[in-house]
Amino acid sequence: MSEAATHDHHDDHGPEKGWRRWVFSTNHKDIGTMYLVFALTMLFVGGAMSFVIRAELFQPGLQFVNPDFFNQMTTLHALIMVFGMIMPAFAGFANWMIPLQIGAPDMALPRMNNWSFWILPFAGVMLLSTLFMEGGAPASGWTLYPPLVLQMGNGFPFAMFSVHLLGISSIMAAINIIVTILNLRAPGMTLMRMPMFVWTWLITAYLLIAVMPVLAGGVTMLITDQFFGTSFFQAAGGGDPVLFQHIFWFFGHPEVYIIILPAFGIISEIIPTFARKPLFGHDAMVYAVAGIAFLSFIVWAHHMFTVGMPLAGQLFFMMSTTLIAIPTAVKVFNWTATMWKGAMTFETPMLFAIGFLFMFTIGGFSGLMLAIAPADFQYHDSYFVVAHFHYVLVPGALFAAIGGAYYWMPKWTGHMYDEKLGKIHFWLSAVFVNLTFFPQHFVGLAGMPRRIPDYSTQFADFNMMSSVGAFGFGLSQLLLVYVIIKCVRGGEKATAEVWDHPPGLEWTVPSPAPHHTFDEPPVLK
Amino acid sequence: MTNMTAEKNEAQRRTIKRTAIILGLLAVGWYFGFMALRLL
Repeated sequence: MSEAATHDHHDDHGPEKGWRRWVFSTNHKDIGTMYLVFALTMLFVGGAMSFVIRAELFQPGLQFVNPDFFNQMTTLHALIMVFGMIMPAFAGFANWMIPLQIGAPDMALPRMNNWSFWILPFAGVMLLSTLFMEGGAPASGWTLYPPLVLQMGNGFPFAMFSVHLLGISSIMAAINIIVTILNLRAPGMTLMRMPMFVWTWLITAYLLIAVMPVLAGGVTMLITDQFFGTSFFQAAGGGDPVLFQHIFWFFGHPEVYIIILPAFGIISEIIPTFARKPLFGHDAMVYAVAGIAFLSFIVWAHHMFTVGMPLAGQLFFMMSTTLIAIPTAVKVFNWTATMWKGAMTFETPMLFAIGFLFMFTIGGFSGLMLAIAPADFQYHDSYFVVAHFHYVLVPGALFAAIGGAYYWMPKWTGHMYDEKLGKIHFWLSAVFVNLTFFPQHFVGLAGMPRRIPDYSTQFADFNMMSSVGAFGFGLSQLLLVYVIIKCVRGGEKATAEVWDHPPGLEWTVPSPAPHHTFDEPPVLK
Repeated sequence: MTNMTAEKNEAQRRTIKRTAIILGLLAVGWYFGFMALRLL
């Protein structure tokens, strides 16, 4: 596709030494690494909370924690996994890979890039600090519905401010990504020649700018309701709590696609490499992503069918939601067509990609079931919903992130990772993730509600299976940490190409990618 | 597009700045505008 254009004549500086390299970094690779390390750390923080949840649910009755703390755990687990883990993980991929894939020397706004990242640890610590305040952490669920959320203790303003900070960080990252892609592409890299990962992030960044201010507005209104005497959501003062649900889900549903679109992008990079065929229907994939992004704005009230709405509203949101299956199916069929008659091999990234394909589709189908308004009256707030969104987020988004990490790790570190351990990691993850979440469909359909620390004895067996799966899945991820550390410290040297003729400009630079790449733009043939 | 000459770099810098400011204003405007909608 291009000639290598990496120059070492940037003789003025390499990376700074010591802590200054990281704290003051404006280098997209260093900032990408920090995002990824932060995300991995938060995976274990959020994972520890899921251990508390699953330990409590191991058998019926109250075992370890009181119900209020249980609710704090479910809430913080969700907030941390969404805002502190999976979004920063994909921001890390964006930082590392977008400049390399479009032939840019760095992100367009490097100082703001530093700021976007460094807000995150402070916001995360502030959110976690509420655990130690009077009244504890938010216990309203990640949806932060009033009036429940307004009943929390001293931690309320801290939790709200941390959500604001996380939003500001995301918006700045989104602006940076859009500006970089629109302005710093190498000559010849037209929009329709951009790799799918870049495309999915471009659209994701627009989604972020469109919906993060809405969440921020809702949260600000919560704060003014609590402290400044307004009644946006307080019925006693003429407000309407349901308004917050509309605001939250106008943000919340596109947020789901903010999480999954970059995952689609990573899968679209991995499958062609290991099928040894170009991505089938690249342009159709772009339009499908754009279609999904558009539809994500007009489906939000499917989260609120049971709140009560006119029949016309139910029909509209039901139909618009089911429409999403069409562009999503375009993507799934195109990935399948890419593999069709390909010379496939099954290295670890490909295993995670295929695992994604099967299990994300399970989550997609249960999503279709939930979209059917009359059926949703039964499923709503049951464990079936928990099973659905965990299938989309864990073997969906998280598997894509892990697959992407294995795929690009040789480019990042200059070493091949341990393939055998990678494969063991995949199979352990795949078995345990299904053991965790598949039984939750059954207990949900049988009537077990979500967000409760105790349950009827009829659900005991499936819950025990689910807990064993969760512990196994969590512990399996320690293997990922070991593989990463081993790969960073040494191993077989990676070539520039790493894989067998993979597509993309990132494979034209040496491995590990030098601190500065594409000081002069590459030439695209 | 990445450019090499100094004049082009200056033009590119301005475009980057302009795009970023427009997007930033959109985000901040939408935040306040959205809340203002409720106050109408």
